Amino acid sequence: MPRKPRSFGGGSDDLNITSLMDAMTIILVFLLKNMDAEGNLLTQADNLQLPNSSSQKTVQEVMLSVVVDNNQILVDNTAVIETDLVAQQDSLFVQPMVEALKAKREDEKKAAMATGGAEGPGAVIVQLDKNISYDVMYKTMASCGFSGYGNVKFAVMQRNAE
Amino acid sequence: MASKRKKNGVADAPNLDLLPVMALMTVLIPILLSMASFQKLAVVEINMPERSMMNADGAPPEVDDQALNLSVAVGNDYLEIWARGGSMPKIFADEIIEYRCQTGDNFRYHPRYQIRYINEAAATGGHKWVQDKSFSGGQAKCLDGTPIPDTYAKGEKRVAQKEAIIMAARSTEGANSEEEVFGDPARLLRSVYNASDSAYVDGNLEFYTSKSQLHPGMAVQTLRENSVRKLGSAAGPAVDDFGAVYEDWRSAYDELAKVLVGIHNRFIDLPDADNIIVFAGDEIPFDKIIQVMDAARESGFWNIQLAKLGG
Repeated sequence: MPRKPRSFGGGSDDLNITSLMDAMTIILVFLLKNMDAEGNLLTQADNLQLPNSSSQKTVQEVMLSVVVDNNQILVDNTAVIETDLVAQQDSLFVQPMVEALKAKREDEKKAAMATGGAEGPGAVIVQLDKNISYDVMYKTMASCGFSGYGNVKFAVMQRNAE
Repeated sequence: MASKRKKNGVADAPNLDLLPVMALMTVLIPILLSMASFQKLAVVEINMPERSMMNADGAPPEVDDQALNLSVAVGNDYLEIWARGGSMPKIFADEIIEYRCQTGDNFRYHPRYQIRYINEAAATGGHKWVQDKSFSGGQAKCLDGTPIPDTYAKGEKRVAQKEAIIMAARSTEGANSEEEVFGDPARLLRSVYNASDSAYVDGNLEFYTSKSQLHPGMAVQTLRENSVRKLGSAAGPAVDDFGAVYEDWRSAYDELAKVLVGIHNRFIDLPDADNIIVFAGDEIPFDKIIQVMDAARESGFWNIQLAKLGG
């Protein structure tokens, strides 16, 4: 059977894209399934490697975030102190961190009062690099607790479940 | 476009113009791709006693004799379980560090013997660790020869990243001293793992030490509750792919989980049967703490507190 010569103007006549459509539909369904409906409440900070964990708990609400990477400590994306200095100090409480956190806590309390909502316990998500020493981690936690953030959660990478 | 009709009356496939749909797909797929999260973030909760940080110098609370008072001490090369003032034998372990270099493959570095292993099956996502005979020892190096420094100056570009710190458990059988345990490389224990890195155990919670002990069709379980499944070739809800099962160094965290599962089952009636305190030294990396907390949580101790060792 001789092939019909392809016309140059509207050339889509004998281009069969049904199979391509099939593939696209499968990709579309896969991506839709992969997509989170609630979006990302927690975004990973840069130059930070979170540890892998089997924890399945995800974040339910937006919380204050404290980031401890190999160079510095950030409270709500503002650098407050260098990590090395924290490791060197003897005191359990990291003073610049405590100040920043207390200010945040005051703001939260004011906001709760203005809206008439109940003032919940201060919740904070701490993102620590996996190589951070326990000493720094402990001081970070102590500072959070001292500033009124008693509910500390650590961010981790979810390992594939069984 | 009108569809032609054949002589016998059967409708020919209508020549749909799918191009607009294709255009839509081409737009939708990149958008969804950019939004898809392939690695999910999760959180680990920790129970902090209110205000206890305030009286760090104060006297510790009185010890309740009836309670289990379970705690795990995390050291550089050991894990130790304490309960009711006594301790269980230490789980000794070697650190094997898994590095991923900026260039080339990922590999494992065994600092105690200065051995290097290369993951030959990394490209396919598998595990096949073979010893790199060309490695001369000494400092850890990437496959292209770049040495990996222990510490980096501020702002210095990192040569390699630690992917994981593997705590390879050692057998303490018949050993009288720590030197004996660590002196003999043959004391490193082996275990069999499935595709999601869970160790297989038999009905008595004993680890399988070699893949040759397993065969397709047999029932196996992991350290988790109700985890019995079959080994086979077909994938399914209760079937593990036998092809993906691999043998590796036994993780000290699995060894810990095994002991903790036993303790949890035995003392389930006690009021603090779900509590555990994790102790660690100042220099212990965060990764190890999280792994120990994972092992504790999976063994049923979900109320985890942290404390400092020797300070």
